[in-house]
Amino acid sequence: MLTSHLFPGDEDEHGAVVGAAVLETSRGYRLLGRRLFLAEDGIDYVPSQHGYRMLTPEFVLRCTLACSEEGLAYLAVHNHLGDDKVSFSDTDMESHRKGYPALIDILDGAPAGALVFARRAVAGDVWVSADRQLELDYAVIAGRSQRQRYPSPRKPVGADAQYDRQVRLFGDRGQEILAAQKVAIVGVGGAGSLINEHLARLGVGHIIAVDDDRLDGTNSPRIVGARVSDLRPWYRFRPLARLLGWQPSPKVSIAKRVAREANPGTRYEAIMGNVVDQRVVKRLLDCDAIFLAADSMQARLVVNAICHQYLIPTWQVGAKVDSDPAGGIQDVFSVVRQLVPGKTCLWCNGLINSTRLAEEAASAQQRDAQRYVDDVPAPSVITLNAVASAHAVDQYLFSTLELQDTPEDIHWLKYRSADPYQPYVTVEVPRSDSGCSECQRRMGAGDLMSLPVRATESVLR
Amino acid sequence: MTPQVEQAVEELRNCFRGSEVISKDIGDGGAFVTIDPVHLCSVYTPRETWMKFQIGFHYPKADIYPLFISCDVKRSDGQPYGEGIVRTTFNGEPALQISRSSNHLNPDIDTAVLKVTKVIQWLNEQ
Repeated sequence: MLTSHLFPGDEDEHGAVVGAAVLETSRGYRLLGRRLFLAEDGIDYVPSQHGYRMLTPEFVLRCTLACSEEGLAYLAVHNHLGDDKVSFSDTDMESHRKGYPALIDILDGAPAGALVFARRAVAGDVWVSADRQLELDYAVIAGRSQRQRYPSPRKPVGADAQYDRQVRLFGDRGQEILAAQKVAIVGVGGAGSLINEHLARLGVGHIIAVDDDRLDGTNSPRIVGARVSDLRPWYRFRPLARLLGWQPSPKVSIAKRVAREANPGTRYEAIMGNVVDQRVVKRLLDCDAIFLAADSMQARLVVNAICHQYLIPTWQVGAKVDSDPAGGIQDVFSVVRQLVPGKTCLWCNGLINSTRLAEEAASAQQRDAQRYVDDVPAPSVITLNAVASAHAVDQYLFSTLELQDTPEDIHWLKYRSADPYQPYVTVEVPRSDSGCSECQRRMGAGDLMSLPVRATESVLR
Repeated sequence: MTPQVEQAVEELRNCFRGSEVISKDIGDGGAFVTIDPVHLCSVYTPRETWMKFQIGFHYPKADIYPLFISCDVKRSDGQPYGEGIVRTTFNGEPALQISRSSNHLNPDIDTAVLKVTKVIQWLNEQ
């Protein structure tokens, strides 16, 4: 909406204000666009005595008070007519120096600043206090493609020779973007362990793996990099194993080993924990992308909330075999669902089951007591996981590196392979509910809203 | 307890004024709730029982499921309980489990009070 307001095709300047939640992270400040106030030409955005045009004092005050009420930073926006380079004029900078320290007072200490856009560039001047001014490093325009915009084109550094073949697709700059990415994988079982290896081999610079589970004899064939020794064969002497504290390897430790062997330069955080826990969630909030490859409804609810609240593009992956009561196969499919902040949402699409959320909140002992039909493990096969994980990482690559200039419509894809000689893809257009408590109310709220996490930490095995 | 769970308990107290509504903080944001007594129709003997359940920390996104009543409750006609009612335990205590899930739950409408009221109504219609 902001892009079409600034660039309607009239080759003129236009103005707006963005209210942004502020997040201070180890990677620097992140400003999350939450509110957009479009300035009407001739009424809110008018000719100026000192520069070309300006936001009227009345509009500035109205927007500042609205931002203050919600605890948001105030960012005045206008455009210049260039393409891939943009900067503020001296007049702009002078007005920032005069105006923003006073605005910070009205905003109760929240930052005030400005953004200037060209068609493919953005520069920012943000005052985080009356005497501390920061320059915007880059902006990401969320959508099917994550459009990274800088004040001017970045000169790429030559990629390592090992990436020669993929650089022929991405370019050196693409490889550099991957190296700067921080990507989380929630669930490193069948599908997640494959995603982990894909990301490490692609050269993603920082990977976080989250899983509270350990390897066992029934999942080891599907987990990339799992070794017989990870099962601790001597674990069958259980009393002795308990005495000595021997247990099979955590899945995240196997994932870390695989990633390190594939790419020793990758920074890796292996978190043995549950994404429903506050201490785990905190480490995901400044990621550039998340892959959700966990089965639980609680994980879906939390990761879906993080996506919308912290504007982090997310891919949910899975594979399923539907069988009839007699055991006959009805359907076999792998699925990839791209979650775009404010646009596509697991809650809107009925993919978070409320009854299962309730069951997952019960203790393991109580769950056993209230299960009157024996749980039969669902079929799971590595090849089905491979279809979903490869397509999900493909989508991530094309989105992050802007490899395709495609329409912004988002489709969810199901790869059906009940007959592998005649596979086909079904396309689902996800719905979006205007009042959704997840994708709409949480959109860009950052730390201003609480996430649906539990108050206590999980007890790990 | 989360504010939403606290509000649900308060609404239950307001709805079941003639009964004791006790909540026990689980520590994760949710609560165990007991409503005592709950009145049943003549289909059952005795016609009064307690009702217990967990309100999960994801309430109101999470359903309240399942709910439990005392296993002293029998059908007056001597017939078995029927579908959706089984003997089990709740927090180690013998109980009858009532398995009624809310399809297409709307967190703005499907409150704890509505759920408990619907389950009692359903029991009385069996």
